[in-house]
Amino acid sequence: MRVLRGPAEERIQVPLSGAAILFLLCSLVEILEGKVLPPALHVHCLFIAVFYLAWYATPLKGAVAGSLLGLVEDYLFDFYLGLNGLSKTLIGFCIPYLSRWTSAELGPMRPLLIAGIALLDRGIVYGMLYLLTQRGPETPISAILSSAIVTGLAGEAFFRLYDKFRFPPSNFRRL
Amino acid sequence: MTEAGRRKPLLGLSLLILFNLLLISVQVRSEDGRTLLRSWGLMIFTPVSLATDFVIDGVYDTFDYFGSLQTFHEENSRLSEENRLLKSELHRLRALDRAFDRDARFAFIRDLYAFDTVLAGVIWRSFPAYNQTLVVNVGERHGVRKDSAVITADGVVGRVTTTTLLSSEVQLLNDANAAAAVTLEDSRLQGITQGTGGSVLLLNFIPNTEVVPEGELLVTSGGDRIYPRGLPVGTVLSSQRGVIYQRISVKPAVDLNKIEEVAVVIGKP
Repeated sequence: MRVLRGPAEERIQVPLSGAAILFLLCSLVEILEGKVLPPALHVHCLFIAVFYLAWYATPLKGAVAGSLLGLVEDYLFDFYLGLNGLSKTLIGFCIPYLSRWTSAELGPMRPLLIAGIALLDRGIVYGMLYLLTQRGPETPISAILSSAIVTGLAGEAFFRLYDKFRFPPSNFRRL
Repeated sequence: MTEAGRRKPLLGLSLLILFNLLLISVQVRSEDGRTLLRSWGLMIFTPVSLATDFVIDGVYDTFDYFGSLQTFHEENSRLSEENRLLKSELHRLRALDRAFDRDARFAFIRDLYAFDTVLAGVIWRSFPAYNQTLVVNVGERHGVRKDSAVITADGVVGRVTTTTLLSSEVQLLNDANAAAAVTLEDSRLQGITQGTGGSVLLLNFIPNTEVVPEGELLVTSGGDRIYPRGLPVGTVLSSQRGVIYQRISVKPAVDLNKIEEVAVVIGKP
């Protein structure tokens, strides 16, 4: 794990191999759950991945990760290429600033934050889609809301699990 | 962080957004089948193209204008000269027209009344409040004598009261001392007009028993041995009953205030 020194604080970055594995896993889960789960329970794994990667990255890297994963999501779900890319670029760019401005231990607030931003992501995507095609979302709004909440909870769980894996308590015992 | 360091993320973000927008724009099609990229291109470049055309046309027109100034100057000089020539030609033609008109009118008088006349121009006019006379530029040398009748194509003007070798004084019909023997054209009643010093004449010696309609024409009767018979004198304006005779106002046939040329009857009428 590389530790980079930023201007005001130390930034911990996810290694490239880890990001790649995360990306592949999320893609796989997205495909599977798209076929099995109803829309209301759909967990946006790629969104969680973007959120996680950007949380520990610089704004530019967050935006790049968001753009790439967004394009993958567009490809997997047969959207116009660039719709999710655009929304996740913006979100990937903003999340590093959020991570700096909020305290590291958000506690119960983090799932809400993830759910809120997931909702914002859907809003940008469907808003753009409406502007381009004058068509609203096919998924009901209640399902979108429900999916955002589920994504928030799943994201929080992912944060806890993956952080435990990346930062095992044995490392801290040596300090 | 340096200024360039602060700009780097924003530049990267802008490029990524642009990339995604371009991707979207080549896929989405408008109702008429054009891609969004093409529509955006048209939307962005049409005003640019119009603005460019406007600027280029403006510059071209400016150069064209200054280049044409010399031509305009020459054209202006040519047109000014042409205008001057046309004006002088117009004045000449008007003078000819007036002369022709005048000759035609007096030829008409000669043909109509079968007596000799000599044309004369008015060279002086008396002050209207004093008396109603004018001086013409013909005199004894041209055959004009005292009491020669003075007329125009419209009717009687007056009579010559004084002559010199080259000019004559004319007493107008509306002079207070002027009179003429007349006949009412339709009723054939005889009377005498008398000047009032104003713009109308008075017709005397028409009995109260006669009916004189407004607008009836008065012509000279020839009874005064001055005016040839049958020349228009005026028309009846109004009539009022008097003690024995009616008091009749007459509008002169000739506008006595606007006389420039007259014909003087020479020889016996």
